[in-house]
Amino acid sequence: MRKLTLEKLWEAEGANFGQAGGAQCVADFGNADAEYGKLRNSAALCDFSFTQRLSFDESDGIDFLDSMLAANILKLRYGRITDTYLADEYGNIRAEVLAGNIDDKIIAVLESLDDSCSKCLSDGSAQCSDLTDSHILLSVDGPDSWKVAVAVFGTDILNLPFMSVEKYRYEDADTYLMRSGKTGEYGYQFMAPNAIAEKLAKRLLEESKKLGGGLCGMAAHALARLDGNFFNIYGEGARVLNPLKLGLQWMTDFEKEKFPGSEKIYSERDSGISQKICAVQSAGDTPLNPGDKIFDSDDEVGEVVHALRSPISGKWTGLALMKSHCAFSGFGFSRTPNGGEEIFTVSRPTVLAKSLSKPMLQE
Amino acid sequence: MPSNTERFAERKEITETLKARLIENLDIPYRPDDISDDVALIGSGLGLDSLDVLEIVLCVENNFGVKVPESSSHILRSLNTLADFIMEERGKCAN
Repeated sequence: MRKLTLEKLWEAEGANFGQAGGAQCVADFGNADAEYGKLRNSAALCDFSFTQRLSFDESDGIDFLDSMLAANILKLRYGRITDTYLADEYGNIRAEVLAGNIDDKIIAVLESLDDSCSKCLSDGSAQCSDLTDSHILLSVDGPDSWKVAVAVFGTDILNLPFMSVEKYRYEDADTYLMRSGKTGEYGYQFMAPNAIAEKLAKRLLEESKKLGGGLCGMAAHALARLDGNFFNIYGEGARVLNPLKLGLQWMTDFEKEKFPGSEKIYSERDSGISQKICAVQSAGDTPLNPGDKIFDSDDEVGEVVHALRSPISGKWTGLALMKSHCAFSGFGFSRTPNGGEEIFTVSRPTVLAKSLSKPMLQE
Repeated sequence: MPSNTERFAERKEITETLKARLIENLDIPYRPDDISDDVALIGSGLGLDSLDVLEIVLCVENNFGVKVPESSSHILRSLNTLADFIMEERGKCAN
């Protein structure tokens, strides 16, 4: 299993380690609920180096990536990031990919269920450098995270719109700053060479702590993605591989002639999908678990595919794969045939991010 | 518990109308079936911006006869949050 470059640093901070897509990650620092609180209320630093990171020369990389990914990479403007996916030949999602256009390069950050997934991109026809082992990726998320980014790179970062990337110098090294958080709060990802990894991590942690924030692990991010309405390949993506059923059509450019799996995806789009992802919450305090069945009267209409207990709402919240004709928010279902209302379909996001009502600099 | 099937109709009518009108008015390059009811309207997801917000508000007000309040960021998160608001406002009118 690929280890984190900063494993020792996190170990000293009390990290409990887990794995994400076959790579080591920090699951939590002992209290995922408290860490989630920091993420929702101030600023929380998380090591995202379990992701795979590639850098392509723009000259040939842009065409190559356009031929491989579901989004239109040819339309990716300088300084911008697009959120898309890599599919296999059967149209099943293999990785969520954030692709950013910066400095004559296309930077690709992959979250996948398979740590060797990036090889199918790096072994392609384009000039590619694999940054996975040479660079770290740290994420700072929360309504105050922009203050952390300002402290490190200056007020210039306030000009960065959501889904954009910029290059800065830190400790004489090129560092990429991406504003592409997946929590609903402000979020900044710092990609830096290993040589300055520890120094950068300590600085980000120090600045986060000044704001009442601190460290968080991927358990807190899993909650944030579920509550905040962001796709999680390690959650629902681990059980549902079909991007149409997952509702990821917005990551797909259906005008594109071809990409791996496009034939299957386009054909299924034309014939209509029989199931869709729908958010659910359980009545009372009854846990939701992947595999739980959902009934409408005596008809089995769905199954829970991902669920967590949100410390913000205090409710078990999940995602269910429902028959399309039943995948509507605002209805009660049962766990057994002809049972009482025990599971409710709900609208996402289930948590309103503080960052929405807390504009930068207006304090 | 009786089946929900008959009660799905109102919700379906609202979300389908919203999708059709938004695709038409905002030139969104998708078919109605491509748009998940939970897809984010602003930022990621459909990628609409603050200029499009006015069009969304007008779409809701003109097609469903309900007034969207000025502080409406929570309503404008997704098609589902828009549909929740419309159903709630309709419920108030009916009572």
